[in-house]
Amino acid sequence: MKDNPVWRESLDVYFDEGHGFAVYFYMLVILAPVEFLSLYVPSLDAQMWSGSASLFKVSAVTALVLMVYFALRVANQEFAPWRFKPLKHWLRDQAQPVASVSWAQVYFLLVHVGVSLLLYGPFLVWAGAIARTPLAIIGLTLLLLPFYSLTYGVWGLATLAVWERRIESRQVFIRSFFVCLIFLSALFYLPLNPVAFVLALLSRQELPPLSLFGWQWSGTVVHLTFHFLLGAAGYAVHRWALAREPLL
Amino acid sequence: MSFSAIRIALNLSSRRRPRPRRLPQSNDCKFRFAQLIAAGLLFLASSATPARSEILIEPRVGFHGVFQLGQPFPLEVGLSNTGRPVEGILEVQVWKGGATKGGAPYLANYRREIFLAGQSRKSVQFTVDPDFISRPLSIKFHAAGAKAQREIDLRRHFSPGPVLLLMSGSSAFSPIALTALPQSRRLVTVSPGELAADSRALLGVSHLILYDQSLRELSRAQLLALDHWLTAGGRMVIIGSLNYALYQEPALARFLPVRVSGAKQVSFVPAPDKNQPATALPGVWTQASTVLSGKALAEIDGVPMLVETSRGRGRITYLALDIGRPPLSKWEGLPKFLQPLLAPARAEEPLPRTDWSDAVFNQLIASPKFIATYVPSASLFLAMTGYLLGIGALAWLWQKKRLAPRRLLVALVTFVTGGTVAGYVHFSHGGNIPDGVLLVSTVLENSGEGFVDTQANLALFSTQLRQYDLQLERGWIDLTPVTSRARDTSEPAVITQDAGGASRYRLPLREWDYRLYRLRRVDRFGVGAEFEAYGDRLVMRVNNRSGKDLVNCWLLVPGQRFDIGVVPRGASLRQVFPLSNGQVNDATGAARAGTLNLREMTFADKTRDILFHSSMFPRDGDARWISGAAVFFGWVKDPEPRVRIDDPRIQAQDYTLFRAIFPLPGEEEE
Repeated sequence: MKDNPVWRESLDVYFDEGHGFAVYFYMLVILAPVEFLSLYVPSLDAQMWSGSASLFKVSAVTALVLMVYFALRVANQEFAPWRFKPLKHWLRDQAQPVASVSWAQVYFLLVHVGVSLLLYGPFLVWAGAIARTPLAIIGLTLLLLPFYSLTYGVWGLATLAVWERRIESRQVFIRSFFVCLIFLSALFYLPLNPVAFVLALLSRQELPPLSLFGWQWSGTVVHLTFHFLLGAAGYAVHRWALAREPLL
Repeated sequence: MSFSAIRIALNLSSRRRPRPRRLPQSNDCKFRFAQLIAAGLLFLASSATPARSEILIEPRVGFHGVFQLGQPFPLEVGLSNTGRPVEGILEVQVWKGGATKGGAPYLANYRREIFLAGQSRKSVQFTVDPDFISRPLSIKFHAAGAKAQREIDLRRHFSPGPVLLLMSGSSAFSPIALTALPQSRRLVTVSPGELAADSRALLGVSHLILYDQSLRELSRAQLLALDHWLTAGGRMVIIGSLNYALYQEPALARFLPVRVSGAKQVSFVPAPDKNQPATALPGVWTQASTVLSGKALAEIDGVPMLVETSRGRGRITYLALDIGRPPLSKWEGLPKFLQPLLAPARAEEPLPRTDWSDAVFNQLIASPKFIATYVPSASLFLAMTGYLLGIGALAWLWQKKRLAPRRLLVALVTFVTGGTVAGYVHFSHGGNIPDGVLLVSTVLENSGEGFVDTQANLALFSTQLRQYDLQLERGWIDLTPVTSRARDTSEPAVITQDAGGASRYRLPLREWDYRLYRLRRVDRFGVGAEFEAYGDRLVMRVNNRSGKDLVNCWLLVPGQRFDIGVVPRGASLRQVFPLSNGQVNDATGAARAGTLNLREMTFADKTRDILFHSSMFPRDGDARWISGAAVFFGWVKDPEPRVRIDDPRIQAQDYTLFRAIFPLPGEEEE
């Protein structure tokens, strides 16, 4: 991987030239005030009050939304797009194998998610400590965040491979995809929604089961299966689109 | 017991057994088999004898089986142990809440740890306060190897009216003299030992009548309970007797409004009936005394015969005549003569209520000052800023290529990991984050004569899943939950009462959960405020004989307010203020009806501000200050806590306000 030119190009553009720093700047600058100000939000429900009690919930959900959104955009090469060479260049001119290009992009997505999680780590762990959230729950949440980022992020790669030359179409698709799956999915079936799943996990509540063809499926199983399938589908589309590229 | 019995039995059986002879092999086997069966039977027989402690519960409800409905009452639980010594828990369960309290019914557990020696009896006193009696009261004793349970149907014991207690040390005195009472009020004769040590148990008692009774046997807790009951509104009637020395004992003298010096015979002339001539009763024994406090309502031969004094909301009446001895004991008019002394107390005007609800609490927790008490917001802000600056500095170093990338990466990971761990330790274990916060907001309502009516509002909230032990100051009258959170908790509140009448509340709370309570008591507090209105002037006298300073004191009259400042302990104040008879000129020069400027009052402390405007003087407040009154108030500096939690992990905040409300005469009255 070290000698993979696609991987080297991503690292150079994002970290060497510093175009990726803006992503982490936005992420930190949004999460920090949301976390701090949520302490002072005056709300009290019938059972418990928000504010410090919900500090970890608010922080985790904000981190989830931001990580997924920026993972999609980074995978879609929305930051400094002019610095990236087109796929045709790697696949046709440089004669790079499809697998090599695909893995380079997936690995770079992994690096981005890892850096995001590393930078968010302190904020989330501090919020968990203040809200008296058990360490196991904090740990589980820190595992779920990269899981969702990757699952949704591969669709950024797929979009890039499918519509590489149509940048506006890609941007519209990415945003529609994000809004539909992160927000609107809750309207159809709550357990599919990652925000609902994280909130249920933090509130130690069971998600409603899914009844299908006389069978009852646990909400957690449905949620995880759906996301595994979603991620796998995204990766399959990405590979398919890359493989299609030399034929164009 | 069983094992030692078996051993002795086996020893005995082996002693009785003849020395074994050498038997043939088959007979030896039979003999051993028979021996085993015998040992087994012996074991079974010995286990049939009582190996466990046997506990018998004998409850005694109220005062000889009577209590006033809707009031707390004493419950004495007699425990008899006919077995081994045992240590266990005695638990009394009563039902609270329900339709009368506007919530779902829930159980309250009164608990005491008990050690019962073998073959012994013990008597345990509780003060129980069920909200309704359609469900039985349950008494349970449980320990390792012993269990007993008893249920009591309280419907057989209640009286709709208050109970009168008579304590008489003389067999000559007949309670028949006191029987001219309505049927709803029950008279019960009790001995000093039967008097409860908890003042709350006496709340269903309207009068305590003492005749020829020494109070030497009363414990300190019983005397304190009597004191608190009196100040909370109890009536004590002390009837004199020939044994005047009893009335000079300190235990009884502390309640007397007179100093008794002797006894003498007088001629008593009762008030005549209509159209009947007054007839004198010669040779009536009366006590000679001098008045110490209160007012002599009647005198006989120059000595006070009937003296009355008040104590807090209560009243003590002293009758010097010996009604238990002839000629008064045989006088037909005695029941009628005594009737006014035992008349029920007039219903007093209720005090202005403070507001205490989820809405008030919502405001409190939303205030940044209050949040800072249980959340380290300042350190979180510093940590976040430091972290962002650190990341920014590392990014700058990276871009400027001042350090090798590998070194910078190591520095980044170390910085982030170190910050995460240090922050976690600080925010979860350090940083002075309390496990919970107990906020007590108290209003001391001036009742005059050095007494105040105390309304304390409690908010206990928890940042942890844990138990809280609330210790209540002795003498409290009523502790009621404001929100029926009990229905949401699987574990009910446990009330632990000690023999001295002190109570502890054990409450389980979840993380970020809270409970609200109201507490009432009548208390001694050495601050008095008196007002006199003379036309357009108001004279106010404030006398602070308490050990506390009053700070931030104000006088509000319709349309005006006056900053009094500090009334230090030991200080007296007399000031004259102008009154505009409820009219105040506004900026346009037009006169408008004046109102109290309560809404315009602000304090430097935000929590005080919220408590003052939302709880102590709510917007839809009492008609007394809305319709026109003079209100003096001041905050008590470093008030004594009325509710304690002896745990350094729980932060306690106490806000106490003293206030005196004086209704101003209207124009028509003038």
